[in-house]
Amino acid sequence: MKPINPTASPASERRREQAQGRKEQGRAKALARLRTAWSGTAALLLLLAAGGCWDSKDVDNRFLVGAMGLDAKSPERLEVWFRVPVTSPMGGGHKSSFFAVSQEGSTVMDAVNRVQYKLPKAIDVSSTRALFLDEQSAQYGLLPYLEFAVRERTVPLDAVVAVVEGGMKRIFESPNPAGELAGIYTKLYFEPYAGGIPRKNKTMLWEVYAKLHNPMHANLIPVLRQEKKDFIQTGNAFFRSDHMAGRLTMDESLLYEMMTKRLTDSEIVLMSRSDLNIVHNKTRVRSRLAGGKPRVEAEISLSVSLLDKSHSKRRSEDEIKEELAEQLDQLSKGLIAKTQKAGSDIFGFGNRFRDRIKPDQWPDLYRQGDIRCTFKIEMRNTGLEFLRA
Amino acid sequence: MTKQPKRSAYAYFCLFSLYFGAAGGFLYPSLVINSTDGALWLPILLWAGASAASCLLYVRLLRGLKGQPLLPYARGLLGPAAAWLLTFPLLLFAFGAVIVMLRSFSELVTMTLLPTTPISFLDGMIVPAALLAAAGLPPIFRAARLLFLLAFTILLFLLLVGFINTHLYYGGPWLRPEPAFLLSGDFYGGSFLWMGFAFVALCGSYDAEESRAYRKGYLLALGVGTALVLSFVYLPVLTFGRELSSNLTFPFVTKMDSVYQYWIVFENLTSIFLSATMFCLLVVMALKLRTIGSVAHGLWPKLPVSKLVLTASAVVFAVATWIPEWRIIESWLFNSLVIRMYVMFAFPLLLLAAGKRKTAKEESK
Repeated sequence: MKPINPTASPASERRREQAQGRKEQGRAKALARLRTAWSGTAALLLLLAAGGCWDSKDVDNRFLVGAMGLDAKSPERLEVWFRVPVTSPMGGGHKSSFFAVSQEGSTVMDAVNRVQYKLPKAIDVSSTRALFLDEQSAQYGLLPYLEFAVRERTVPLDAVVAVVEGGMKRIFESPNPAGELAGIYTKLYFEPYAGGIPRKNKTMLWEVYAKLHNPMHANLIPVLRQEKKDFIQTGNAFFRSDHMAGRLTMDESLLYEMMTKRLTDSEIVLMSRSDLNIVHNKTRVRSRLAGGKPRVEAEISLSVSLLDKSHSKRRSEDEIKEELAEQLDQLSKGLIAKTQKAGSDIFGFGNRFRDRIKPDQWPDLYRQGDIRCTFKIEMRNTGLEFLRA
Repeated sequence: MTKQPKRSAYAYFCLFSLYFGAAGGFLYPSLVINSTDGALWLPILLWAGASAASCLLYVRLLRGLKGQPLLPYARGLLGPAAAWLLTFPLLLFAFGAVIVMLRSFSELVTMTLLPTTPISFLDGMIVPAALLAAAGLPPIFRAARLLFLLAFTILLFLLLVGFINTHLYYGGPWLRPEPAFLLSGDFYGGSFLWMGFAFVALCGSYDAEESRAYRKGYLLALGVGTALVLSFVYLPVLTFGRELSSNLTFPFVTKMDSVYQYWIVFENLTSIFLSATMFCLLVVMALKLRTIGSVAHGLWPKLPVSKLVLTASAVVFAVATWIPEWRIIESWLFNSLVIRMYVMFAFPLLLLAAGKRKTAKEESK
């Protein structure tokens, strides 16, 4: 504390106090300004850290994989194929819109690491749109080949999955006729909003992986084969556990879509004397255990419209409906017998018995099950022309 | 002590709901799914009931505080030595809770989005929470009101799109209870989700009116939180089935990965979910750090709360970064059950009994 000057007048004392007050106010303001500046700088520094990226690689320095193929050479060895779209900035002098590269490894991740030995940029499988499995890996068992995708979250779980007949080389090295980027083409092929129709049975990676773990619901995966210029679908492969157990034709696949309530879009049915468009489908499934055996009744209601009856001029609506019901009934019997023989419940009926049985009991019970389909068909309209018998 | 402004039931509701949003989406679903082969809703509803019962115990305690915080009241009631003994476990509990929350979220970000980012950097998310906690309880409530609107709008959208590709039959058995879950460590490990109210009770001052708002806010949030938790648990199960869901570390995160629809313009729903969870987490970590500060202030009254909060944040950061393996986090969840039961039931019951005894003594005089 300063000593008080006894000679100082009250006025000068007041002036000194005022000056001191102003000085303190100035100091407080400076301190506040400093605090604001410090807070602002700290906030800016925090903003710098907000990205949180570490060792990130620019998109220019990455090869974004569009489609991946797993080709099992033996249970311990596989070859992984990558199809990478070539975008215009990096495609200087490149004639094709894509390039394909393959690499052997003991696991998928091993092959992904090893392929890096061949490439100047980082391979990035996080944007993969399609995952192809060869028939051999489907025979050996899928689970060991797919675990990496879920555990490491490397491949998107919504990538479409298909089994490929006749080796990966052709399907990976052939250009797409429509010129779309690799992977996108396959995705569009299955997507309902583009070229997908119910018979194609779009199957995503997470579905396949989930069903591999579920003894009450078996997988059904599309099978593709490379033709001269493009690939075609030859059917759908059904699985028991993680092994391929057989095939469904495309027509049987349509029935599968009806029974599992997946038929959301319209679908054309070609019959011997007329062509029909299924415009609406409703399926009701009833299940119960009778004498320790499962009994499942699927009541399938279809609303159809007539597209063409040129092959037969004299057909009534009732005759057309009867023929369709008969055709579907035969297909359903064949489909159910085929899957029951293999113990492969592709319909997931077993899930309806979760309250009553242990999941592991289901494949055997499915074999003994009494599964029936009934069809109720309505002819919504006959197009812009009357149907007169 | 400056008198705190009264808080509405809505303010409490926002804060408690954020607690469910922060803790329900990542660790909890896997614990519930693995706790039973029977109906999954049963362990969830049992804990919700236990949580409501425990909250009502705290309400009974808080309404007799007459405007003072809980810990000084306990000190006055029991004397310094006994209060210290009763309060110290609360400090351990709060430290454990915030360390597990911070590290498990960092681990989640590492597993899903940023695999090469160092854990120490991700754990740095405690800094804004620490600053918010040091600023006091009113800013935490204000932040909660704002972030509740933001985070729950996003979560609501995600839950709605989460119904895509779900099938009710995967959720079975729906009506078959399996009492064996009562012996499962996973069932008890999930108790951390149901005690957000305890953190709020341990910091802040209460009287009869405030405790009514607290009770109303929590019971409303418990309803919303239970629905939220049922969705977090059931959406992956109804999509992948029980078998795969029980194998997943974060089932709801994998569920978000599987959502694909042409009309959803966002490519990566998982990162949106993580962002919404982080909004919730920011406020909840601030609340937990504030609780540590308040409890430590009750143990060492001469030290200022804000400094205790900042010191605690540094300790939490150091321990969370040090944890070498995910298994340690899981084992803490299972092994801290006794301390959690103490906080939920034993601590308020002991204080209520001591309060009753004191009143009876005073009346007899």
